[in-house]
Amino acid sequence: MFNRAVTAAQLKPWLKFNYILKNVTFTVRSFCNSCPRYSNKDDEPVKPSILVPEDFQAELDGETYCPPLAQPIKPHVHPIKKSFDLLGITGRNDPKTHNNLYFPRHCDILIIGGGIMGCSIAYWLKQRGHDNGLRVIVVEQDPSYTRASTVLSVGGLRQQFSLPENIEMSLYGAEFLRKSKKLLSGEGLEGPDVQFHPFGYLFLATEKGADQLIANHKLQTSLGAKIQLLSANKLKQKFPWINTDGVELASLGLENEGWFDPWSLLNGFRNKALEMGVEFVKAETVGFETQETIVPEQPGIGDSGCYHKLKRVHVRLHDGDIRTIDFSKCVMAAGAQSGKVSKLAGIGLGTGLLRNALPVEPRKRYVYCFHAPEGPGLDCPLTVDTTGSYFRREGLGGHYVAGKSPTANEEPGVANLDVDYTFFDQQVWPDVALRVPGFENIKLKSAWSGYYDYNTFDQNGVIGIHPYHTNFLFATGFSGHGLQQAPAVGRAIMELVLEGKFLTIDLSRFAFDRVIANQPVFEQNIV
Amino acid sequence: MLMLKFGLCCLGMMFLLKEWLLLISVLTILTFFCLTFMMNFDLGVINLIQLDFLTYLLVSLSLWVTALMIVMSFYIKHSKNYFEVFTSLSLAMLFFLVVSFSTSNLLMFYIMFESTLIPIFLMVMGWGYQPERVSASFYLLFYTLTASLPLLMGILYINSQQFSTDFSSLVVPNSDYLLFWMLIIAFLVKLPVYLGHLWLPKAHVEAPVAGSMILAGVLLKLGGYGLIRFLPFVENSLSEFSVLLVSIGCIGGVLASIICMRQTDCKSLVAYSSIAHMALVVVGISLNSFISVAGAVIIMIAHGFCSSGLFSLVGMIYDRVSTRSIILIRGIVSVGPSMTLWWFLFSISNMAAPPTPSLMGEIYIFMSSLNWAGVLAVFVGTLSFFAGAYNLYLFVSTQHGTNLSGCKSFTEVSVREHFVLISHMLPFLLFLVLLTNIYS
Repeated sequence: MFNRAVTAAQLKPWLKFNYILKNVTFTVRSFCNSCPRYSNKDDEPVKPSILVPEDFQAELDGETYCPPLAQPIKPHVHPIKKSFDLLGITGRNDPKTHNNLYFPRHCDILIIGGGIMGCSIAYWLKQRGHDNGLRVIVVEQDPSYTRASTVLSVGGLRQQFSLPENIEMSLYGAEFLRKSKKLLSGEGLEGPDVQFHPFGYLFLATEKGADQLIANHKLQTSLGAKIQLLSANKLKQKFPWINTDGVELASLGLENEGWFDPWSLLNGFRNKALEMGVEFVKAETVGFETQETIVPEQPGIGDSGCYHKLKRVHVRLHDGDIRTIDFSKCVMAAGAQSGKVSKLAGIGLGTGLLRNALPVEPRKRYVYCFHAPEGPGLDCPLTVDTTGSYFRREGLGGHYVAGKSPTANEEPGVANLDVDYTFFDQQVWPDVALRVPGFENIKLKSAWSGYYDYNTFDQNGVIGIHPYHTNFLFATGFSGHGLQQAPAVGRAIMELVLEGKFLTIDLSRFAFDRVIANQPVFEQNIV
Repeated sequence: MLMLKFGLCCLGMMFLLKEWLLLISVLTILTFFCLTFMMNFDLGVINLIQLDFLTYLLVSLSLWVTALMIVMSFYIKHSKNYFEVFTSLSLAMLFFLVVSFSTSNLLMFYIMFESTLIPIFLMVMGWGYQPERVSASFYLLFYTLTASLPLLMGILYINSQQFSTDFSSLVVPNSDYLLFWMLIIAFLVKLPVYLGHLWLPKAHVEAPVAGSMILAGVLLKLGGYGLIRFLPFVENSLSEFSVLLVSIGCIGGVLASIICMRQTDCKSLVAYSSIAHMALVVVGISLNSFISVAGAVIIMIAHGFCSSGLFSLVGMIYDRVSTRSIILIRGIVSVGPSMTLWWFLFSISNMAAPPTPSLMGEIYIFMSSLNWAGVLAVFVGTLSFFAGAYNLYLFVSTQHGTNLSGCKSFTEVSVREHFVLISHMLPFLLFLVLLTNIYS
């Protein structure tokens, strides 16, 4: 629309004046802004937590190219005809007209993904104020959650992380779970019973990892977590069923750690959100539409001044119909599919700020359930072995679930959720049987697999606003520890949307900017 | 004769549907020259009574607001959503409005009064974008239709009694209470007063920007106009019921203002503020003194410009941020300061700050109502206070604060939008000069 690539000489005389005037005012304004008289040494500007290196800055100041996204679909129906159609079909009861008539075409906040993150965000957005009039729509392609990471999760809650943000989020998760029955109840709606088993996590460390464990423990206790360090002897005293060979140090969570039923929490959030007026749409996201706007020159926009604002999403219903939903802000909480859906918004397909894709992809993880009559019994925390295998008690009948994160070259394919039992025989069982002699005599009962929304960049969540699409927020990529952080993340996104900044837990280190600036934020794993 | 001329004029403008810019220029110029049409007295078609230029004011207002609403609906043209149909609906609405404001035949007035419902109904259903618009347009239609049926019966009764349906030939009856209510209730619901107001927030929220502008700007004034025209006819009954009407007006206004403070949708907030303003109009008309009716008229005209301007501002924000929620629209002063100027000017006009004519109208109403009964000071004072409160709330919520999501996408206010806003503001401020004529 605007062709700025002209020089003053080429312009017609009346436009030349404008061009010169614009340049003069720009010069004058920059002179005024750079005048030292107006700077105040006492007010230091707030340093962002993620600083882009110098060689990136030039590229980011230039133009960001947004690739062409979905095109507007069907042309408008004639309004008079539309009015008479609407008059004709109101009052009829069949679902097709109901879909036609009542499909929401506009919302304030669109949440893509109805898992624990999406439902938590929907709940937090609506519960602020008595009836804040926000129109929130959650687009979830499978309301029976057959392949959702949330319900296939082992359901652990721990504060034993090495990043303060993770620890604080899990602490809040525990606090929320304690109050969940009351908070998620309403008129005629009973709150969920999350069945929290407060048996703690037990991390075992060899000599090499002991220092890291001590450092982590110090940070965790300083933030309020109740973690106890146990030497090998104390460990043996506390848990006689454990084999302490090779274990130098162990840390046990005393409070606020354990496991719970993710399905109850998900339903709790979902039902409360439904009661507060959130609309759940059963559809799959297939595209985004942008609106070209001409804005003044800004970093990331460049000379052309053309900014593509994300305006509308195309969703496909179960009968193949494609509908559109206009939104003001969009939250990406699609879990394992987030990387794929973000690409539909051009994130990763453009240049400049849109160069980096969201580094979240599905990774399959197996969970095996076995019966061990000589196992640890009731007093069994979720034990994470030095090899990375973990197990916990399941129920009261001597059943246990166990699993292990495979190494990079053992990663299973993600095409389906089939379980590989040889992984149990070769990797998981030897480890847990070594650690707990009582696990030598077991009978494998069943197994399932689920996807991690695995952040290939640094295995921690991506929470925040995209630097180019400023109305697009992320809440995904938690790589296996998202369930426990869902209440805190929901609250954080609510604060970001409604207040413009984080108020309770500062999660600015987890922003998408770190992917662009190549500054990963790693959890220090125990060896 | 006159109406025929005007009808031909409107039909002529239908040919200009493709030439969008020419159409709005014709409309704006016609605003100033409609007086020449008014001066043609043919066969006693026009009879301007009491306020000599009430008709002129309202006809100019409707022409002006129609021109501006066509300018504002550029988005419909841009997205090729049947802009010609929309414009022809607006012109049809204009025709009905002008005829209803200028006719002196009761039945013709009633027919045009009802006919304005059809274009607004089609606008809300056809160009609104939320599923609730179905229910909103039904509310709009049925509230007004149900309330105006007694009006038709009353008019026919007058016809049978007095063998004429002309405003100038209305003979004041002794005090027919039933006839009074039958005639008045249509206008009370149209205004709307607090008890019959439920259709207004719904219709305003679901209507497209241009629909809201014409609805708030002119259609509500039909109610006030009807009340003023019937005033000499029902004077005797009015003295019996004036306490009731003033009470409904005052208390309803206060309640509407308080409800306004709780709104989360910008458009809904402006809609409820319309109810609060029109409550003052009802008070003024019920008091039946020259000053109070003059105040009511001034508030009506001022509110026409102000509300219409506010709705166009909300529409501009919606074009940029895709939401009307007060919670999500924040920090406009950081990303679009030219819009902040207009938000400020319209907010202070809405809260009746000097030197706007809204203040003048309110002062007239205050004077006459306090003279009538001192206790009304509490209500009109509260109404005035809350008017300031909710307008400030709207302004501060939307303009101040941090804006994260709009920082890259908030376009500058375009020339077209500046034109719309300045066209609302300038006559509004110049209106004061016109009003010095009120005593002549």
